[in-house]
Amino acid sequence: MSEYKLELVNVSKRYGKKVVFNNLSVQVKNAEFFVILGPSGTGKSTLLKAITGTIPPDSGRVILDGNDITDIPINKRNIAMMFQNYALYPNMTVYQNISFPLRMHHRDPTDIDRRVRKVARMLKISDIIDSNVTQISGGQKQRVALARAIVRNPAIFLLDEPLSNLDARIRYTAREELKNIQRMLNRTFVQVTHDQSEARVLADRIAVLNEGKFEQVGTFDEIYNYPVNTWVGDFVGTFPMNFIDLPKSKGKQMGFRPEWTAIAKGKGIKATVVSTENIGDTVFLFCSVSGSAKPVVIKGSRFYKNGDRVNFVIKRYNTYDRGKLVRNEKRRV
Amino acid sequence: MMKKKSMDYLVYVAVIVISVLFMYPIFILFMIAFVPAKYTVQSAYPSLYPRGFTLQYFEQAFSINLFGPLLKSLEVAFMVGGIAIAIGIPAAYGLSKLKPSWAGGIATLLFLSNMMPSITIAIPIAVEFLELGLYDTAISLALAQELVVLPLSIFILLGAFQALPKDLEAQARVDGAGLLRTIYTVLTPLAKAGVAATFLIAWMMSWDEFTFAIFLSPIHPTLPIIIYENITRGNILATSAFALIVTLPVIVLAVVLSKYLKGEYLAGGLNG
Repeated sequence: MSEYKLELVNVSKRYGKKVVFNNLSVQVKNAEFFVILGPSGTGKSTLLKAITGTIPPDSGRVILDGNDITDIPINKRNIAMMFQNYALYPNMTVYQNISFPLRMHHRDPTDIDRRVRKVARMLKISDIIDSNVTQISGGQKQRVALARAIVRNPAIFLLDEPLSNLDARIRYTAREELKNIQRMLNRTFVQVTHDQSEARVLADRIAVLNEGKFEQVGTFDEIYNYPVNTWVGDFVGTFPMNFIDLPKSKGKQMGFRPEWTAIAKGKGIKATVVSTENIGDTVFLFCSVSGSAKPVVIKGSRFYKNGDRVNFVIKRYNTYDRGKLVRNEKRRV
Repeated sequence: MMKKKSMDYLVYVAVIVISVLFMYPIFILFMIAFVPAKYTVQSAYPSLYPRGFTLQYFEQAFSINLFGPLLKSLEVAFMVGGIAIAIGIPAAYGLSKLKPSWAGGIATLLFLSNMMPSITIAIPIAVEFLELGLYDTAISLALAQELVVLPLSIFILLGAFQALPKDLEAQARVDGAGLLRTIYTVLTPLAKAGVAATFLIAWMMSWDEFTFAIFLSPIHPTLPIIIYENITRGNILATSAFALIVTLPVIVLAVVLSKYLKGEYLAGGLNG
């Protein structure tokens, strides 16, 4: 038995000249909720399809439970997949959709019935079990798709943006539920998303994917507080991380989050407010600062308006050398 | 708003005009078949409404042994429809896996046999079937007609399979369905409009097919051959009765299959 549930070893995929991903390697631990986070069009879905085998990788190995499954037929892999559009079979009822994987695996009919009803109860869709899937709501479709994945007790669950087709209001509860179900089943979930708040809530660990390679793999705290490079710092966070050139050291920058700053009267860094953003309890100020091409976001208050001059101090920061995090730095909090 | 309203009326006018245009020949057919000839073909000013009723021409038509040819035609037509689907589905599925431009090119190439006159193909086939002992059988005629029917069938089915969402197939495979089960239990039911259309068109193409029929099945002929023989004998009244007999099964089949020929069945299940 392998230490990891799922391993990708140097997986590559290209379409003609376009490289989708090149030599990707990652290890997913047993029973963890692993989220692959990346902007749209970075090959996240293709990566999941490479694991299922529906889009076979050009090279590299996919290892599940210590067994190389790269060359095993798609239908023999014991993987459950949930697509963004749920891919429910439109010609079947809810019951037939959920029982489909079991019927494909030639299980005993009474066993199938028992399992389908149990999982329907668990996901609170017992009352619509005989409905046609074309006549149920988006939230119900999402549950049916999840039920169909759970019912067969697979080795691993792959989820391709399972929440992004839901209304924002349902999405928050669905997110909580998804996390609870993963904890209850104590199974390995691998989900791809472009929504970092989803990644933050769901993930035990996050892998940040950009242009076909993993920039950073770690917990949300690690990635948020110590982005390994300026791209990750820029991508993760409600506001991008601020980077200011360090004076007298060429190529080095300090990176800091807006919350790590404070307004200071008459000391610290001089800045001019360009715009403000009120998020409810806090007002963030976008300021032009010498040493940064982009506006720097700092924590401010309601009293500031555009054009005001402010001074702020940085309470903690990371150092970046040519865009990369300088490690072994004394970490201040 | 006013403009849109008047546009709606124009659409209805167009529908009525086109319907009348297409239905008129069938109406005339009914007139000639059921109204005594003195009011129709023998009249200097044929009436546009039925002024009498007669079953005389049907009696004439049935005085020839029509039952055998009718049965033969039905047998061949259902075989052609069945074979068109049985071969067409796997072919169309395979082609749908290719890049659409490639699939379209190959599907077009399949029409090569249609580009040649049927008669140049029918004679060598007839010789071949004579040697095989299949001459004058329903299956031999059905197989020959597939030469013309299959390319079109594959073309229609290809469109139907290409329109299916790729994720559904991937989902079925991941859910544990093998290739054949994916095609027949998931994809084909979703492509049923295309399958129904294919069956109907294949059936109809066989139903009034003439060239292969006259070469490959002259001893026990199909209905079109019988009609042809009667027309050449100048028996136009009995022929119109025939023509009705030939038309009715097509109408019945089209009505039966019409519920599958609507496109809305796919909506909903795939979009959130």
